[in-house]
Amino acid sequence: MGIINKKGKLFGVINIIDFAVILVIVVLLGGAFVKFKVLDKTSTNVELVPITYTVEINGVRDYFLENVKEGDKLFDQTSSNCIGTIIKLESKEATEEMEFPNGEISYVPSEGKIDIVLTVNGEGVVNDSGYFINKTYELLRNSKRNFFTKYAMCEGKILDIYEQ
Amino acid sequence: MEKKKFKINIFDIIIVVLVLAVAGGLYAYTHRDTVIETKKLEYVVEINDCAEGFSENIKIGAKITDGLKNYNMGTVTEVSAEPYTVSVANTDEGRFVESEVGGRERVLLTISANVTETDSNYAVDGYYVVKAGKEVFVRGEGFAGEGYIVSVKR
Repeated sequence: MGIINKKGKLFGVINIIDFAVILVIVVLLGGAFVKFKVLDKTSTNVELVPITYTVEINGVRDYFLENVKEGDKLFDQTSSNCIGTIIKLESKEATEEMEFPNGEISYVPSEGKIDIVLTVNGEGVVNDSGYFINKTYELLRNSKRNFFTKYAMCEGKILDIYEQ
Repeated sequence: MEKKKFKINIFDIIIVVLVLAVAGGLYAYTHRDTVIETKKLEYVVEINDCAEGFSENIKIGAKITDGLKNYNMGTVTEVSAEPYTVSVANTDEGRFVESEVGGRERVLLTISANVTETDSNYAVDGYYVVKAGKEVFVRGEGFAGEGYIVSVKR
């Protein structure tokens, strides 16, 4: 006897299409069980803690400052997820690298441009691997990232991280 | 030849129910009531490095579109011009200074648009996202240019 007989039945017991339907339903039920009963249990065990970090934005035109305010939410441009709220805004005249005729190179003031430091409050997890806002957005000192608020967008660098 | 008997079993019923559920879901998804509330937003765009007098080609009421994706950006409500400047190194003073470029101007357009609002964005007609610092390629009737959004009014 073959696997499928002349009537189209698998091992002479069940129709191949009926078997496929049963298989799909079993897989869907299994997937739903894993998603809602197994995965959920592990993910809710992690406790979120407040994390404060600073972001440095260098050499932007001075109009930028008028478009960012304390209280604005900060978002990650890659995921569009909220990664905290701006609680403090500091600015100073920007500096840029200049080469002088004698060969000396130094940072000098740049008219019309500013450096901004944003202090941001977020929630996340802290573990042996590092700091993760909303469990997924990893904070790394000195890493360049693209950020945006409801009113402005920019590139910045994470300066410092403080666990409260 | 023996005629095959037409018989419906439980699995046929399950398949029919599944197909109907998927079709119903698709219909509901594609025929959702899309009531989107909009509000008026004003923002300012600068167009850089234009020939002197370029601003005179742009009239109040001109419709502006995004030169890349052809999205509506809104309507011009104000036009002004100022000297175009670039940052140059002044090694005598030890600083970078803004220096005017002769015969060139920077055009500032105030644009009014209907936008949808979310927690993170304002988007003209729900498509063109408006943010200060965004590079723009604008196009209007008889003119085009590139620059940045410099202000979004709160």
